[in-house]
Amino acid sequence: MGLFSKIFKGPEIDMEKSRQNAAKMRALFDQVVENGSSYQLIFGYTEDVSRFNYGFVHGSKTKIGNLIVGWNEETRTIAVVPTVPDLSGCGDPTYYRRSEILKAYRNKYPTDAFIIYPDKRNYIGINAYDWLEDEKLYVYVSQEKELAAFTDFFLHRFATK
Amino acid sequence: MTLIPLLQQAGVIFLLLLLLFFLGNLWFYLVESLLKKIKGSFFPKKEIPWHTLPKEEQQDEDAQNR
Repeated sequence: MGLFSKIFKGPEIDMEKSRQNAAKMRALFDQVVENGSSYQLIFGYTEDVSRFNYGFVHGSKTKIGNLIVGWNEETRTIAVVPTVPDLSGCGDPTYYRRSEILKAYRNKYPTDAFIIYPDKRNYIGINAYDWLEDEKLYVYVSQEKELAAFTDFFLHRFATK
Repeated sequence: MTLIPLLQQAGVIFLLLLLLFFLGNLWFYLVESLLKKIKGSFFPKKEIPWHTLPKEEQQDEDAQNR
């Protein structure tokens, strides 16, 4: 009974690990973003899918880019910081200010991504979930409430009509 | 009586498929490395600025793991 209930319950989240990673995300973000503490954070990722055809071998490749996504409710700014799954470091932030972007919307197909076009040429698609189990590919963090807050902010105060 | 030749045939087909799989993988990585080299020589990669995790955070984590 105990074993079966455990199997059917599915994977359990290691909250301690999640808390540690959330703290690391905050430390990295605050390190590179000016006034970083005024931003709320979630983990997101980008997916770059490309097709290849090398003669008798063909298929598709997917590249995953991990991101620390911060948003400031007051300034209506989203700051995106590239990182790696073990959170050992991060790159420079990119800012998307509501007043400066071309358009932003929530995609429905093929994934529920948050799409931002800073200008006509460039765009970023941010995917985010409550929790992703694969630690080799994604940052291990549980973020149900944070994701709900970000979705609300994006849809009601950041997305263009 | 007919089971052994049948198994032999299945084994041969399996080995052929396995060989095809390894050849396909070899070909894929060969083309990928060549393309990477060609791209790298024409469009050299810019150095991306990288910031490592602050030491205090790393120490906190190490202490908790002990």
